Amino acid sequence: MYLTLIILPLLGSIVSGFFGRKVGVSGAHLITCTSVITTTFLAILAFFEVGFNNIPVTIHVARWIDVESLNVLWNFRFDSLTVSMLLPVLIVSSLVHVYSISYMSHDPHNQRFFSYLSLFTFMMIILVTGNNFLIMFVGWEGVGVCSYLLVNFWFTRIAANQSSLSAILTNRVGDTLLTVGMFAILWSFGNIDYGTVFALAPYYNETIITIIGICLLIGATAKSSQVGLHIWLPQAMEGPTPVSALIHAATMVTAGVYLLMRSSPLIEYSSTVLVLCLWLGAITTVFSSLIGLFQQDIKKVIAYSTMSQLGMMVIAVGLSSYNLALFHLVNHAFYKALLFLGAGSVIHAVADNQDFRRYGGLREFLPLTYSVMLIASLSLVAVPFMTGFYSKDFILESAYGQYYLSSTIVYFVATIGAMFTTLYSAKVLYLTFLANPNGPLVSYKHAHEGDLFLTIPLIILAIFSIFFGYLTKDIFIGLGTGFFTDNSLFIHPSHEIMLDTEFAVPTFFKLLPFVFTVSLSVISVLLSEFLPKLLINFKFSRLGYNIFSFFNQRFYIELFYNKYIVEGVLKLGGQTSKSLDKGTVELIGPYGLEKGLLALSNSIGKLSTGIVTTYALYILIGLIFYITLLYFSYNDNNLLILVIFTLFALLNSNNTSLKETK
Amino acid sequence: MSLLLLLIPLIGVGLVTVEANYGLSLINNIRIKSIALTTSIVNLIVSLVMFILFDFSSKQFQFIEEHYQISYFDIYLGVDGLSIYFVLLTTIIMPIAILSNWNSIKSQNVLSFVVIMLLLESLLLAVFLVLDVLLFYIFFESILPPLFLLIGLFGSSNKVRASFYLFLYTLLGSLFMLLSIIGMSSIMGTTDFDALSKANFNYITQLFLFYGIFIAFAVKTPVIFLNTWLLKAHVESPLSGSIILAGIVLKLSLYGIFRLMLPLLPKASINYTYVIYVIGVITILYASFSTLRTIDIKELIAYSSVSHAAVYLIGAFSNTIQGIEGSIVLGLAHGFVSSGLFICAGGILYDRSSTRLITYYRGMAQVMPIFSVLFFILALGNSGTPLTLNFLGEFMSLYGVFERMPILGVLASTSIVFSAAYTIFMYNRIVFGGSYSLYFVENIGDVTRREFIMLLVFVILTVLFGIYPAPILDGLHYSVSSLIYNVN
Repeated sequence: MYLTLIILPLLGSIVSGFFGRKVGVSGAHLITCTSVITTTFLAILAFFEVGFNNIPVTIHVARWIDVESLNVLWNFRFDSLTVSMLLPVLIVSSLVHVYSISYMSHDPHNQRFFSYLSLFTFMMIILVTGNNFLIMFVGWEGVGVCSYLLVNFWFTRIAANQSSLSAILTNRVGDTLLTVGMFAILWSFGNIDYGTVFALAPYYNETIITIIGICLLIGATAKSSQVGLHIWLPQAMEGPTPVSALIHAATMVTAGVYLLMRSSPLIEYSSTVLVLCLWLGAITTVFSSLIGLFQQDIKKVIAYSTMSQLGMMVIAVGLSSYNLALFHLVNHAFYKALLFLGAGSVIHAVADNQDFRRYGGLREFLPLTYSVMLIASLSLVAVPFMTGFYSKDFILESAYGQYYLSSTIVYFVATIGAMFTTLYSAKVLYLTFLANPNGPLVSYKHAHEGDLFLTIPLIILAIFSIFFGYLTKDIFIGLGTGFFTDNSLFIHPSHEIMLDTEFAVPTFFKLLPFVFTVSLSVISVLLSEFLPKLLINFKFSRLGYNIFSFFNQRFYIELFYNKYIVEGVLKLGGQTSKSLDKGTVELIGPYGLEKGLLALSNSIGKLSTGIVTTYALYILIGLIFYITLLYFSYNDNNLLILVIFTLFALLNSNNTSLKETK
Repeated sequence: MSLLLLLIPLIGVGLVTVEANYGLSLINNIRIKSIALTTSIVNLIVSLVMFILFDFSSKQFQFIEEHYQISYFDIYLGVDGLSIYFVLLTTIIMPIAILSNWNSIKSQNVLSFVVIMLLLESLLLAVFLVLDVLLFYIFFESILPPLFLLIGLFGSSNKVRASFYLFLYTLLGSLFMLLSIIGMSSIMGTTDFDALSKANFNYITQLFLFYGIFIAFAVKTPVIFLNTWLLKAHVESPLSGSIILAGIVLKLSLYGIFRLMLPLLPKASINYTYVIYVIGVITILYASFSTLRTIDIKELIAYSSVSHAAVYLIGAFSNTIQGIEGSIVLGLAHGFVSSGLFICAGGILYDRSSTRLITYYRGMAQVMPIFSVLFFILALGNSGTPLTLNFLGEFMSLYGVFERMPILGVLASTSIVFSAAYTIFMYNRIVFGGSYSLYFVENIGDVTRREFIMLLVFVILTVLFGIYPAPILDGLHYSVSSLIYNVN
């Protein structure tokens, strides 16, 4: 069963990709959807078998790299962390498969698209089930490559090309550091098997664990789009919307957080790494929700919101509350996928326009989409008893509940981030559905709800977004939960803060985020409904204009990267390839040799001038040379070389002077 | 059996000549080519049989043939766990190299092309098979004239300059190696490899011998500032020449390191590793930067070869089993992948459009879907993505380097970013990057069956061994562990 779970999406992908012409469009739909849905049911079964019964499964398939002490096996491991990761990955993936049947129905390359989707799912499964860092890395790179293909699916669009290149290259930077981290693990632990590394971690020097942890953290930064290596995520919104829902909400972007959770037994022993995680997450969450507030593209806003939620997860990792991070990851996957798919439904309805300033009044036309988007947004802003509430609010409380200075500051920073999240969620909902219609008439004439394939995933995800958190809260973060007793997540006893959070945080600070959420959403709706002049006037003032453009241009980080790093590298490349390799080296090397020898032979040839006195001079020089030769070589060899060199130099100067006289 | 490997191509040469002189002129071009192809495939089968019969649990040379009565030199052939893979690489690549120029050679030149190719196969195999240092040198050098002719006869516009560079650089480097080998021979009184490896040169002598040999291999690898010949030769040579150059000739230096430098001059190799590492790391960075700005596809692949070659060069000197085996694996993988990329760029695309500049290509996926898939897998291989053999090689080599010198290892790891940058950029620009290029007036067809088979062989080898490399790694253990040198 467990191997079937892994291999089925790959088979679907191969059939759809390589035999797409044989099976046809509907054949490809049928095969890929069936295989992924079957896998999903198997994963749910595995969740019960492995998770609830606490029976971790390890499967040994084959040897991979077996060199002296470096022993990497094709091993797969199903423990509580893996099966909880499989749940959102596969549920979202199968729903996206179904959704895409309708969404991509007019595309001529359906087989290719479904092949990519299934391949991506396969790589994601490899990522979460691998039993050592290297197999994890296979999935890690694999999802990167698949995301390149998926974002670049409409490859005739230059924007899609640019963003997919940006995605794969930014991820590669993280991959490099992750590779270095693996080298460091191998070097110090002698193996990259999870079991070996985690069992030995307590006995190691903190410095080496910090180094490894920082390398892993940077790898996670690239994959989970934390500040610094985040530029690819918003750009990747160029891809088809189902792809965004799959990759950029539920699966690939969570891989970095997964890595951190998986290495919890390692990074628990380095407080530096934990603090770095805490701050990185906090900065990311406030940074991205600030940018998100000033974007006009509906998908980009959701992308920035994803980034901010990923920041929340990293904060949870930094607080050592890995189960909380995992819980938020799972919850977030559902409501964020719902947001993306809902946005896709909107975009589908209004003729592929993504700028929500040109929406408005869509509530009448898209009632179902409106309701699911509302549910997802409520879940996102952590309205009580929705799915998002149980994890997001708890992360904020935990930050306070650690009772360290930095985590208390992080609490406030993250609360501000959550505040902005509320603001832009309200803004998107308001401008898309509630405001006066602002789009062209044509798009309203054609606006309609999608067919069954488009709506069923929305409804299922909406149900998950409401109830999942409530149902599974006690499994993931309940006080006495036995779910993680197989030690897939390790929380050092002295880092355990759940009790403090539950009982010691003042009610005021527990309620603060909620108060902000409610009051701000009310204020923002009221403001835009009744006092729109105020906002417009602010925007037209000098200060407002500057603030707006600064945030709208995303802190000018892309500008900085393009102007200084990319351009610098390319300029350097031009120098090395053109000036150095095809210039100097060639001039000194073969070309110079050729010309130099030619010149030398010319000047030697010029010696025979045909004048007797010159020959007499040569004879004289020769005679002196031979007489003194003995003396020179007796004393010092260098002198001899010097004399010969001078003769050649004289010859050359003679030649040039001759040329001049001519 | 090892002698058989050398003789079969020569027999092929004979058959081809007979056929050319006595056959019917109309059909004999095809027959000549078929004979050559058959010969090389027979050679492949022989080498595979050798691989099957090979006893991997022994460190001894096997399939030994000694012929003292033939000439002044001792003809002394044999293979061990290292050279068997290089022999296989040669015999796998040669049939494909012959296939690659199947249609693009003019009919009056077919005979000379085929003879050059078979001769090259014989000579290349000889380099890997001989167990005598002097003979190694002789065969190492003897591949130059056929290559010179290959480039000079069938190359593109700037071929004279390219063949001149090839000759100049490699001969210059090899001169020093000859001096070193003569030095060895005069000290020990023998050039027999087995006997030499039992000897122990004194440290200063080792240093001098080391310099001499390293200069030759630095040119052949190549490293920074000595790579001009490679670019020129790759760009100007016909497709088969590029394949042989990238696939096999660049591996000669790697093989030479394992034959001459590590076992014979251990102390010098250990003490001067840092020099090689610095050179290697600078080469990686330099070549990567240069590759980013290259717009000629063949030159781009050649530059990326320089960068990968530097990775396996430093891996080979890591003095760890992982590093050394990784460098061999990367060498083999690079042989497959860069040959495949050359077929993609210099063969399939060039035959159809007569240009090598990336600028003119766009949206090839629209008209050549099968080609795009194969090209993509090879491009992924070149950028070292997991599940390809290149990834394993790169990972293990870089790990070896990291274990030896961590800082330089980290710097060398930047090649992971750069290789993705230039390869994916090239792929993206050619295959995607907008709709089908306006520069092409006519539609062009997808891969033919011949091209498909050639690429498929490389793709399958790369991916299969990337997933299950045990057949390669298991055979290497015995021979590689004897290359490790312990200072204490």
